[in-house]
Amino acid sequence: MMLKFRYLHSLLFSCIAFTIITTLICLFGGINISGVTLLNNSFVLYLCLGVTIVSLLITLISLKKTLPVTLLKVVFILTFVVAGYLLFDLVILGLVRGFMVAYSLASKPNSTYPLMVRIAYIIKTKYSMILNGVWTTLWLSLLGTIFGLILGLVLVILRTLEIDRRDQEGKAFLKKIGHWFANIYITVFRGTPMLVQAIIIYYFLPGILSGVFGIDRSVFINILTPGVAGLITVSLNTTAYLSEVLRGGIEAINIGQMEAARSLGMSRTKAMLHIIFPQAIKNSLPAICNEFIINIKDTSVLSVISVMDLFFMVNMINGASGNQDAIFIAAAIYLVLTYGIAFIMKKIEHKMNLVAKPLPSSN
Amino acid sequence: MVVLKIVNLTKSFGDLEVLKGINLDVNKGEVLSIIGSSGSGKSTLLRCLNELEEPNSGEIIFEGVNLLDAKININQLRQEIGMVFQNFNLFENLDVLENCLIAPTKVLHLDKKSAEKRAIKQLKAVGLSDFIHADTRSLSGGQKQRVAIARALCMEPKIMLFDEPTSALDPEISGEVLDVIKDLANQGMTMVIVTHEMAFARSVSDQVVFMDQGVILEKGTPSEIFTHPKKTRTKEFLKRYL
Repeated sequence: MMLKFRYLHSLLFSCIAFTIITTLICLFGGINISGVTLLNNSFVLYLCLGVTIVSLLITLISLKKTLPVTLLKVVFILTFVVAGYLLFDLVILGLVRGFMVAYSLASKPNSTYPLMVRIAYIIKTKYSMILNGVWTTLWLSLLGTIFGLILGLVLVILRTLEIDRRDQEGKAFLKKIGHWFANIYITVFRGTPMLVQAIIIYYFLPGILSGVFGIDRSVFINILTPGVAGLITVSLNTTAYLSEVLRGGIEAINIGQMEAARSLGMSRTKAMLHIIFPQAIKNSLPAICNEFIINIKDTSVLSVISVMDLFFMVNMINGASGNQDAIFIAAAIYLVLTYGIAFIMKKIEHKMNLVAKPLPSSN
Repeated sequence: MVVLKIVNLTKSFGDLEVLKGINLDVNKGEVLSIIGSSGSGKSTLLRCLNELEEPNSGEIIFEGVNLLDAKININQLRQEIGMVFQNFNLFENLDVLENCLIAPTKVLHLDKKSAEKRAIKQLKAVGLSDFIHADTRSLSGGQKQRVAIARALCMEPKIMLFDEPTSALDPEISGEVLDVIKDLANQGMTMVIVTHEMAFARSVSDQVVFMDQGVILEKGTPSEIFTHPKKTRTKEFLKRYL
C-alpha cells in the first residue's frame, strides 16, 4: 500500500508536537509521578533526540519505500497518546497537585517549589483580583468594538460620499471635508500605536478639552478616569480599523445592488441604509469578530494608564511577589477568552449563513 | 401621446463615444424594442433613461420634465420609471416579499399593510405567490427575474425599462419571463426593452429600433424591420438570427 501524504504529514506533526511538549516539561523541571521524577532534563533531551531521529528515519524511508499504513498509524497514535498524557499531567494534574500543596501552605511558596504550586497559590489568594481584571478586559473590548463599529459606520459613510452634479456648491464642499476628515482620521489612528494614543488621551485630552470649552481642567480629569480614557482609546482605534473593514465589505457588494435600489427611487442614503450596510456588515462579520479578539489582547497596553484590566492585575500580583509567575495565568485566561469568543462567533456566522430554505417545486 | 422623448442624446466613456446623438419618442402604452449587436450602445441608452448613466448632452423629456435638468429630484422621477436588469439584482439581504416591500414602504411611505397587498398582488401576477417568504438565493434565474419585475411593478411605474431581461437565462427558462413581459404589454404598460430575443421583439413590439455603433440606424414597425429591412447592416445583423 502506498504511503499517503497525509500520514507523512501527521507523523511529522506529531513528532514536532512531542518535541515541543517534552521540551516544555524539561524546562519546568520534569514531571513527578508518585515521588519519582520521570522527565528530568537529561532524560528529556535524550528522549527528544531519539524521537526526532526515529521520526526523521521513518520519514526518509517512507520517501524511498512504501511503508504499511498501519505501522505509521500505530506510531502516530502512540506518539499522540504519550504526548497527550504528558500535557495532561503537566497542566491539569500539575495544577491539581499544586492546589493540594498550596492549600496546606500557610505562607507564600518560595522559588524552590514547583511552578504549578506557585501558580496555584496565586490563584487561591488573588482570584478576586484576577476576576476583576478579566471583567474589565471583557467590557472594555466589547464596548470598544461596539462603539468602534458604530463610529466606523459613520466614518465609512463619510468616506463613500459621492459628489453628485446636482449637489450645490456648499454640499459638495462639505462632502469633500468629510472625505478629508475620514482619511486623516484613519491615517492618524492606524499610524500610531494604541499605547501612545492612550497616553495622549489620558494625560492631554483634559487640558485640550478645557481649552476648547473654557471649563476648568479638573472637571474633565474627573470624567476621564483611566477606564473612560481606555474605552475612548479602544473605541477610536477600533473605529479606524473597522471603517477599513467595512469599506472592503461595501466594495465587495455587487454594484447592481446599488443600481437596483436607485432605480426604485431610493436616495443614496436610503440605499446604503437598507440594502448596502446590512450586506456589508454581514460580509464583514468575521473581520469584526476578529477585531473583538484583537481588542481583548490589545487592551493589555492600557495598563500603562492604569486601566485595571487583566494584564494590569497580573502585573500588580507579579510586582508584589517579586517574580513573573502570574503571567502564565494571564496567558491561559487570554487564550481561553480569545478561543472561546472565536468559537462562539464561528457558531453565529454558521447560523447566519443559513442554507436556503427548502422550497416547493414549481414550473 | 409621447411619454418619453429623447433629443440628441450623447454619452461617452472617456474617449469612447457610446451614444452619438440619439433621437427617439416613446408613446404611451407602446412597447419599444431596441435591438443591435453587443457594444452598439443599446444598454447604455436604456441606462441613461433613468440616469443610472449620466449622459453628456441632450435631453430626456419624461412627461414634460427634462430628466437631465440639474434642479429636478431624480429620485422622485425614478419612482415612476421601473427597471429590470440583466442580472436580476435582487436585494440579497431580503426575502422575496421584502424585496417587493422595501421601496414602497421606504420611498413611497406606504403603510405596511397596503404595501404588502400590492406586493402580493404583483407576485401573484408573475406566478410566484407560493414563494413570498423564500430566500432569493434559492430561486431559479427565471423566478428571480420575475421577482425583479414584480418588485419594479410594486412602485406602479408609468414606464418600464428592460435591460436584456433574458440574457442571463437559458432558452427554456427565458420563456416564463417573456410571458410575464407579454402580459404586461397586453395590459398597456409602456415599455422599452433591450433584447436579443428577435422572435419576442417581433411579436411584442409596436416599434423596433436597430442600433449600431451609437446611432439609431433604422426604426419602424416590427414587420418593417424584420421583413423589409432597408439598411444592409440591419440585414446582416438579422441574418444571424434567422
